[in-house]
Amino acid sequence: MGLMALLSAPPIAFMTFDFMFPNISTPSLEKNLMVVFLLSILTAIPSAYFTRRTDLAMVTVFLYTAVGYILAVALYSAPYTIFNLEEVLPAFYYALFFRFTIILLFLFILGGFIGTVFGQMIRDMIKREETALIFKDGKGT
Amino acid sequence: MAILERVKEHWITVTMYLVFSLFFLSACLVSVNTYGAIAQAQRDISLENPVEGADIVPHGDVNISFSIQLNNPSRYTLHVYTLSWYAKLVNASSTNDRVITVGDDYSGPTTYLEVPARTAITYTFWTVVSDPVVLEKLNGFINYSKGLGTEYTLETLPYEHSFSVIAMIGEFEHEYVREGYLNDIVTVDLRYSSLEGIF
Repeated sequence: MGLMALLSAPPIAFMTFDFMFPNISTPSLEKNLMVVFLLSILTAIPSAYFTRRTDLAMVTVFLYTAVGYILAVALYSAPYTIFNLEEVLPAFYYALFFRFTIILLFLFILGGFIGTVFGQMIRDMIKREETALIFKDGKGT
Repeated sequence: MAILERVKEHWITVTMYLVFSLFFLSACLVSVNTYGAIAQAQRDISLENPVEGADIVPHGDVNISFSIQLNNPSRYTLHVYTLSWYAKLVNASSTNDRVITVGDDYSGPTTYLEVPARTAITYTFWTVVSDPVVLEKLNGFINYSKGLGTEYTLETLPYEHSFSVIAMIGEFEHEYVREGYLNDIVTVDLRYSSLEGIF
């Protein structure tokens, strides 16, 4: 679960950073909320695919969203923390960030829950296919 | 060990998951590097060495000149949006002509001025004041000042120069209507005035 929280965090961090600075990020989603929502679904699929329990997969969604959002705050602060520079934008620097990106948290969680359903459907589908193949070959009998 | 076995079992899915994650991690690093470079450019791009001048030229006219260096040490080309220079003499004692304009120049976005990356460009402006009406006002100021005990000539008059340059960093988009802060982070706005210096 911890490993998945780390592996699924970069997309969340990038989408948040990109939503703040679509003109300087590469590649940019151009503040397209539909793309953000679809990517949130895609991000959640592995957590459900690798987790047998649905409730744990949903907890993973919360975890990676939190880690990703914290990473996005760190990226947003990079000029001051890494490059030791003064503020480029005027006051309310972090207030601006939270005001702009708070809506994304809802999309990440909602998309994440839908993604967990998809992930489990994919896993069950593959399992059914495998079982069918095993019995077809006569190995399961 | 159990994790390794599961990874081996689902190696295609795990690889896809890793590629997906690494792609966005790389995008984060590239984007934050750009953000840092822009912030550095905002700090380092500067105006330097302002030089103001006034010389008498033939026929008793006066040549007002101003030069300043725009230094761009960043990795991005600067696209000059507007560039303006204005020179004046303030005559506080006059009720009608408090500001005597002696020179001005302006370049707009359609001039396509550029400052390439890691270079410095010196802008020089000059104008010859030959209009008898303006010269008469300047000489009037000199005579009035002499009456107050201050000796001026056309060359030593306290002309005030103002210079401003607004430029865009690189090719980043900067025409947002609602998100004005996005325009601000890629815009350089530098000014100079004789009274306040570079700011």
